[in-house]
Amino acid sequence: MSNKAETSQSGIDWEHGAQCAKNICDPQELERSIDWKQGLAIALGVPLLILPSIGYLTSYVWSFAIVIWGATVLLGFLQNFAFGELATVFPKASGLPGYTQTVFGSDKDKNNRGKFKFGKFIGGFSAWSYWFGWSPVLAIYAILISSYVQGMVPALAGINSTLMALVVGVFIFGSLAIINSKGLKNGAAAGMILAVISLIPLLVITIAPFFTGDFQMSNITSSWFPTDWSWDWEHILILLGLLAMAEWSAAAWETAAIYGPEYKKPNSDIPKALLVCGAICLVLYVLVQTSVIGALGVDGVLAEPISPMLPLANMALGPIGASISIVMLIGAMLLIIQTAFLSSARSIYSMSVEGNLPSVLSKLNKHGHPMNAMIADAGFNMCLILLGTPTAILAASAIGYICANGISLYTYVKVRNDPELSRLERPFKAPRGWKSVALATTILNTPFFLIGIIYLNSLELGWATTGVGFFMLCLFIPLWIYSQRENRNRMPAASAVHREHGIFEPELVPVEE
Amino acid sequence: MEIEDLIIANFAIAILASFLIYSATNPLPSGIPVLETLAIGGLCAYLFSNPNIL
Repeated sequence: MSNKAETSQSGIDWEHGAQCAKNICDPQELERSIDWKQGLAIALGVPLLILPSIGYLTSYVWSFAIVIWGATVLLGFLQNFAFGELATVFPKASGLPGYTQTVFGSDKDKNNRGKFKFGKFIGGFSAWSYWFGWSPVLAIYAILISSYVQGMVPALAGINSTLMALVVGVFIFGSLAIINSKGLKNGAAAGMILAVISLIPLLVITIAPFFTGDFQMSNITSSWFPTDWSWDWEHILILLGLLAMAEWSAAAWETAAIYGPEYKKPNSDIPKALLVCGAICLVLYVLVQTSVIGALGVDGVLAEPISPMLPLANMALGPIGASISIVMLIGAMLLIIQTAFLSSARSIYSMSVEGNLPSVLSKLNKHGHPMNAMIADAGFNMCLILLGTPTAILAASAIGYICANGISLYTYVKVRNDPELSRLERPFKAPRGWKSVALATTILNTPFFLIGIIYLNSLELGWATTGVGFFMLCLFIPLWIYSQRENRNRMPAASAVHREHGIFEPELVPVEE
Repeated sequence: MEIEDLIIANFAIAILASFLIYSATNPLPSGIPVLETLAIGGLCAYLFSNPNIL
């Protein structure tokens, strides 16, 4: 009996089954399973990235921190209009790392003709920098959660803090990996729950001082800058560094685009998710910093630089407010971990698909989820937890994020300049003249922000931090060389055809109303 | 100039500027023998491999 006849009688597709047994039917692409609201729910961790930096910015520029947050979110709008357009030109690409690798890594590019594929290296390096900008968030917040839990539960106070952080890390990374293993839909549901738990209390605590009378406008207007502030080159470098640090938080809502290959209607879902997330960030970043300084004053913030939301909650809501705010902070940190975990795992997946990292990392599970990339990411962060002191890694990771942002904006300029790429369909277009805006913002990122963040790191943590940052970025080189050899050894022609078709041929996406 | 060249140029500017800032804020400690050996050794190695430079 033929297989087809068997199929018709038993309802089982034996031919497909036989192919599956040979691993031919493994999912090759991420599943399109979310809409813009679900993408937004995952990206909603970004507004909470302000929490660890409230005191940090205030310590350098006092009330002017409000202006820095507002300016950085607006800078994010300038950048993310360009990324929104790229998202609709390349609906299969995973956010910033996807665009750079797609555009610079094309085999048609003349920079990729020799043995050393220069364009491909730049694309891969940008994606690696992006991953290094996001990934350490997991370890840093796992350590913070563990210290909060040890502070809350006296019975746990005696346990070694590194061991405790490792246990917390295993529990959180494991739980999130299991939740997300069945597809991004589950991740979005988890993100929504965490967003409600953390964002609503954050909003209540932020708005309450305006109604209780604790907010004093004079706390802001009387202390715009520190008394010894001057506009010399050292302070301008500090300001550039602060803007770079703020960009790591306040412009990170580009992460809504990283789920590009998983949106049901990428052409409309990605711009919507991006812009709504940006609007929420604009309101929250400015409002939170204004409320904290207005209610506590600069001295009050500097007295509690790590968690100024705690005294604010105490002041506005009484002692019960402090308990609420701790639960809120832990929820917020979980949400940030979830956002960062998904972003960094997709960066790894995207690099592997493009042949910039070993191919084992691009394997998807049966639900079309990049589990190998997630496991590798979790493993890397467990190693970071072992370091115990993540501050240097955090500052170093900001260097990676600035590099990724700069190169990604150059990608937009290249796409608009290139005669072939500029003809591709653009369902969402940034306003006229945006190429010049993107060029200006990219020069702002590299070299200006990069110089600023290096200088700020040297002031705050010494030059070792910069060394760690550059070491991590340079680690890409041996991995990339290994991956290139791996690519050459396995069906080079087939992989090239796969990549070219994936990039430049229009993808069949669902028809939008 | 191509975009790829611009990217490299911008990174080179950032790294060079950072080195300048580093040297302005942290003068090379002449008492560190490793740094001295590396600097003088590197210079000698370069001169020996390029004997016609002088």
